[in-house]
Amino acid sequence: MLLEKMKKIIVSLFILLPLCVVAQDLPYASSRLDTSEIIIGEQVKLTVEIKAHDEVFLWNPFPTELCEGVEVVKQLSIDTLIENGTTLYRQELFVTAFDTGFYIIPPIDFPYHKAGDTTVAMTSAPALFLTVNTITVDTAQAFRDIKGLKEVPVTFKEVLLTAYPWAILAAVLVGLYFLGRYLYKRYKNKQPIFELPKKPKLPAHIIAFDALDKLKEKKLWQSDRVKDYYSELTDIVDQYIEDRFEVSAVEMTTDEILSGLANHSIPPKDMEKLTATLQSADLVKFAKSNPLPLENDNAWNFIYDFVKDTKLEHSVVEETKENADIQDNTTNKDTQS
Amino acid sequence: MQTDIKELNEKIRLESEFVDLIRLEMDKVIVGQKYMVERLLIGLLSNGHILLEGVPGLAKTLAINSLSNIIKAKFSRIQFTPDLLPADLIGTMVYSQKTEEFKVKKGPIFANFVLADEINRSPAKVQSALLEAMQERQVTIGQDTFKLEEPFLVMATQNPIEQEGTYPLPEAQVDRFMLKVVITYPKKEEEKMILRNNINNTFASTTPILKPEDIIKARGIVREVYLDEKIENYITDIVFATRFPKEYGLESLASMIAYGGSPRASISMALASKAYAFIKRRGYVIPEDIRAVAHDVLRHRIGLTYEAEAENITTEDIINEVLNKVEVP
Repeated sequence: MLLEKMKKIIVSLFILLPLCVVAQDLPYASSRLDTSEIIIGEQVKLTVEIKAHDEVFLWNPFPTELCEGVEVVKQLSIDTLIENGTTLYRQELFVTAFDTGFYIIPPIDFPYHKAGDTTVAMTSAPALFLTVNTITVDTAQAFRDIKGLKEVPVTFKEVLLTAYPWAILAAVLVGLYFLGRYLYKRYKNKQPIFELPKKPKLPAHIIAFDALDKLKEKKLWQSDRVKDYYSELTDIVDQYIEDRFEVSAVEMTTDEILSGLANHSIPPKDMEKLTATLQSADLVKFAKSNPLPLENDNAWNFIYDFVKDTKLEHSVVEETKENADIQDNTTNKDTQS
Repeated sequence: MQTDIKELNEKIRLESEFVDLIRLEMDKVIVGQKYMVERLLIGLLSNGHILLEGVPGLAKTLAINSLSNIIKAKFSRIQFTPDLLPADLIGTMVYSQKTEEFKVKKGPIFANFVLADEINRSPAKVQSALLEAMQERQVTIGQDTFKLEEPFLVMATQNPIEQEGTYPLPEAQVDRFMLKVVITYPKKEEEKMILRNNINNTFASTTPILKPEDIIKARGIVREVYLDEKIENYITDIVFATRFPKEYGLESLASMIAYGGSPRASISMALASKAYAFIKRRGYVIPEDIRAVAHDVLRHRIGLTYEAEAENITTEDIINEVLNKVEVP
């Protein structure tokens, strides 16, 4: 009788205790189970919540057993929700028990201190009850054999890490070998390790005009460097012819350049100017010829006129470029097919 | 300096007049084959020897014989055979019963123009005797050394068809020829003319218009032809590209070339281009001259790998690639 009374008092105390806490000031902690009754080995979610102002909590990880027989299977991270000046901390745990019986999960303590104050205080979540039942055996049914071990499929990661660590090492070494070979090859061929995207090339006449202007600024023939002057002048026109007419003039002699241009519709007066300039440049470069200042100026003007008269107009440049792109695409498609 | 070149140009314009006369005389007897005649003149003016490759019947003997006749020089023809001995070429010591002493009997090599016909039909010792004489321009018989007469030009021929029973010239020996000229069949019109001349028996003969001394004098002028440093660089670039093609962006040729042109190639190219400029009556060398002689100077000086032979790549292809890649000054 006395025992019955005591039990009622204890139960009443446990029921009233949370109410007292609720009535208290912040912070306060609460806890709840999704269900108070589970089958042996079943997992139940335990939610712990703390409502606080600006208190600093000293979070400690939960023990693997909340009480003897009740194990923590998994604990999720703390979720924080700030609302109306208060902060709500929530953490969910999954607990289970592998023995039947009635369990009391003791109050869970959360130490904290106020901001700017190092004195540690404590708030506790109330105790919880958990009843673990066994499975009811239907004795009316026939006996069955014990099930064998369940086959779990082996993952690729497990195979690699447990069964073939040497395979990984070999693959890494092979990869390093090929990387090293690639880098060495590029280094030996004096190629950059990583190729930067090429800048779009300017139209041939713009490059030529720019180079001609620079050549003029250098005042080479005025400083008795006539040979250098004509060398640079022919380099400019060779490069222009190569870019504009796709005649590899840089690797050609004067005669070859002139016959290479014969099939292009170049105005005769420009062809004459080009011929005269290239021939006098040959004399300067290879026969120590020293033309008059007027001839030097004329040579520059002839090349300038040649570039100006034979340049591709902007729209034509664009069109040619587009055609080239289309051709490239067609070629790529052909190659792919 | 500019005046020097102008003077030289003028001098060459006057001194090279005989080139046109030689050509006219040669044209009297040889139909077509202008390329071969021009190369003969280059060899003659630059003091080099010529290796000629072509099928029989292309007027090789006639060309050199006519040239010697025009220059009023001594000509000899040696048919190389497997049993030929060096003594048959250079000469030997013969015992004279009359004077009771050994006398030197000079061989056919003692001539201004020597046609070594089918040089690859003789074994190496005979080839070496000829090539040594070509290089040293002197021959030793017994205890005595004899200088060969100037001008001395050897034109050796090789038959490219037959390989049986031939002794191919070693690379080191071939290098001694300044030019290797490949001659082809005449054109259809030219062949028709040859046919008519033979049927009608209307063979013209050449007239001697020069003396050997004129050639020696002309050689001196040829050496004076101005070769600019830019042209020197161009020559060395071409020869180096045959040795180290990768450095000239010719990666694909690296596995095709066993060995490139020797320093003799550079020297020969410079001398031949000077002679070519002289023939063109110019006092200075331009890149066109280099291009004109490059094939003849290089084709026997580049060794091909088995890979190149398997892929039917010829030295002509390699030279073309090199000339198309090396920048012209």
